[in-house]
Amino acid sequence: MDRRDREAEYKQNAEQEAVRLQMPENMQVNVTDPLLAPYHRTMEEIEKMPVLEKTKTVCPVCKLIVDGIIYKDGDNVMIRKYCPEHGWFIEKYWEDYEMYMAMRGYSYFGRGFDNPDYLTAGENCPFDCGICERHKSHTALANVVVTNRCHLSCWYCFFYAKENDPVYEPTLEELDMLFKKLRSQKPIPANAIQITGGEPTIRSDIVDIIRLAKEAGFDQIQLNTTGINLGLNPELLVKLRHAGLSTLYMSFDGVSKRANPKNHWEIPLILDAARKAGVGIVLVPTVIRGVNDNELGSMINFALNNIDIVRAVNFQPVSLVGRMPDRLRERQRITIPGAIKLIEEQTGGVVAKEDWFSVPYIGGLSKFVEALTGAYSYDLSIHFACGAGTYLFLDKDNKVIPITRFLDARGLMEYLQHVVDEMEGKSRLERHLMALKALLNLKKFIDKDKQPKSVNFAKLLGSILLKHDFSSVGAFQMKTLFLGMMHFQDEYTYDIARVEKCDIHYSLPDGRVIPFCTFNVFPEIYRDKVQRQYAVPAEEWQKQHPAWTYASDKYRRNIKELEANPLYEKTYGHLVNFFELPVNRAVKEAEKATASEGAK
Amino acid sequence: MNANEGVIEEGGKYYAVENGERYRLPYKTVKEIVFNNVSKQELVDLQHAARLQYKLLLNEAILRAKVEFVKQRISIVYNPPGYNKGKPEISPEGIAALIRQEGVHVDLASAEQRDVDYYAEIWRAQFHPPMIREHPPYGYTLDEWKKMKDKYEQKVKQAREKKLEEFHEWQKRYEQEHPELASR
Repeated sequence: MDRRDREAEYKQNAEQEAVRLQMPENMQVNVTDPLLAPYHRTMEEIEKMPVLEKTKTVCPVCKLIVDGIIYKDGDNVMIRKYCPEHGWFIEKYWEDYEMYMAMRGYSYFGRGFDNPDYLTAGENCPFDCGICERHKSHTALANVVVTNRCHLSCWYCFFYAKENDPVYEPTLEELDMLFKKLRSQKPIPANAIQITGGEPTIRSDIVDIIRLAKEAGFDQIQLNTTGINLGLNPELLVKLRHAGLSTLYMSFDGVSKRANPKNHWEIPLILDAARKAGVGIVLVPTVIRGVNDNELGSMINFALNNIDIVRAVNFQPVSLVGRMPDRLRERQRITIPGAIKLIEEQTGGVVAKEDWFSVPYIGGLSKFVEALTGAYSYDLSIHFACGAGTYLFLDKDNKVIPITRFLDARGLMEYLQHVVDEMEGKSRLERHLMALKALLNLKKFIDKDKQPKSVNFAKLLGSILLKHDFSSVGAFQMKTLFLGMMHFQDEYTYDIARVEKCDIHYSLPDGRVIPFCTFNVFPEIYRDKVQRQYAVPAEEWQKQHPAWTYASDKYRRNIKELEANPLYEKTYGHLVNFFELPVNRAVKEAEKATASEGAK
Repeated sequence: MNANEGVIEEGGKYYAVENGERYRLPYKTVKEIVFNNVSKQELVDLQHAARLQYKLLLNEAILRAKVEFVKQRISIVYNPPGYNKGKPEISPEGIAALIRQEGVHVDLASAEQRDVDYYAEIWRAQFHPPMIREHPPYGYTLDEWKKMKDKYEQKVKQAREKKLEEFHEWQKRYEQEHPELASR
């Protein structure tokens, strides 16, 4: 099945999905709907709107590189592009103007590779990728695909082998080579890796793969999985942990059965297995408007209920890769601020819009640590529109406290950046004295009365800055829940300025390293093409593995049995709603009162 | 390259060998064709040149393509007929026709062609790229960094060894907590 067939199948599935969502094809677009209105203005109206940035993007149809105009439409930030052959394309870029401007302030250029791919100079970016000398971020998270086989067959996914498709599975030696290549990046070797698929646990040598990654020197090893095989086989998870696995990066699209048909019934088993094995979990919801966007608050609440084992919720607003009906795309599109605003609504303001910061915000901290210690530090210099995050503390009295409520995060970063600027050109001794003075000043940015009772945040922050290693961050995370947002691009939102700064990379079997959104948005020239070069035809795979059939990979669920398991009731039947507890409601009401006082 | 490195063929398949380990090579020898003096009018502009590159790369037999608008040059690394069994192939005429489909005419007679050793020129280049520049840590000049570098690298090596040691100690403790591991 080639890409066109898959696109046709996807389109058909998407249309069926539209029907399922009760959106008849001939439905009249209601342009008064504020969600859809920005898509349905006249070009005359659009061209009058204030332009915020100019960038380069691609035509979703023919891939011509065209100018992208990022402009303000009311509260929305939109991108428009014009292809001489295919006309205008309008897409939502960021659903909150104020937040866009605030986050833009954290933007900076990081360092790419000092040993980039020299076979390309990147003149025709994004069509001559390997990370080249013009790329502006190092690899912060490396993705390595270990199989294209999967035990599920999700309608929206292109990323698994269908029946009779070639099977892609690099050998252990080849994976070891990829790991070593990633670790040899200069000046900052990749230190976090995500083993991904297909479903990686379908490989019988998955434990060996994790062991190899650990031996190659990765500190943070994640497994991108549905978790189903691990819930059903908890011993496998113990073996993986022993081999060096740090975290399960686990698909989790909602608390209810409807929102999360993928692994709702197995989640209780997976949590139990992870507790026994001592493996942390990152819940990874793909957020689709109209499908599971009503469960964002309950997903955070679910994570808080399992904070002993869940380290983070990393929301991924859907990337609508592949051509799909415009109307469906407009309805399903959600961007980072769109999801953040829904979280504010659904948590009753406990996690508010103001609590989030852009990922490159961390840059100030990294620069300070580096200037202080003389040791390279992770940059996280991605484009500000790619990701956002915040930390929640769950205090002894069940109070949920976002970090920004007691830390002047913006002030702190501005101060640290100022110190780094001042350090330039000074002697080492002077720099150290300045850094020490800065460390003593940190407490000025912390409101002790508002910080969680269980944490001395000034001490914790000092220890992160002084120790400058993962163990400090680990200790920090054990008391918190990290909330992340990562919005991967598609052909409609594509912005080459974002791609140039990407720090989530894929390692290809031919040795190239490619940004996430190049790898997945143009699979026909990267992902699929290169994997086909290394894949084994289905007949050959069958000969090599006589006991294997395509059907034998597939998981068959017994819902009755899973629901009868006492863990099911324990997991879903007694959830505390943290956002409705008096201790959290009281905070909300007090804040509302202060706000209205201020307004008066 | 040392004696432990090179390419071997086994059962009609190619493997790169490095430090005694084998890695599959999809190709052994491929070809490069370079068309010079391509008409700027036909390439249109930088953006159209980039799209032409994209379209060329859609062909399975084209491994690399570079369309340089300013230099009026198109370079293509491809798998020619009869070179690598079982892999999609394309002839120079096929390439010229493909480019022509996109409205660009190239002169096949004056094109430069050469064999490319996939392992030496592509595979190794991608797995072992050399350093082309050096960024010092933030707050340091390159001169300062050069003085610190050896010590820093030594420290990183030691820290790595220490971390691995700690991990192995942790593994032992973990084995005690999880006796089921003994049965593996």
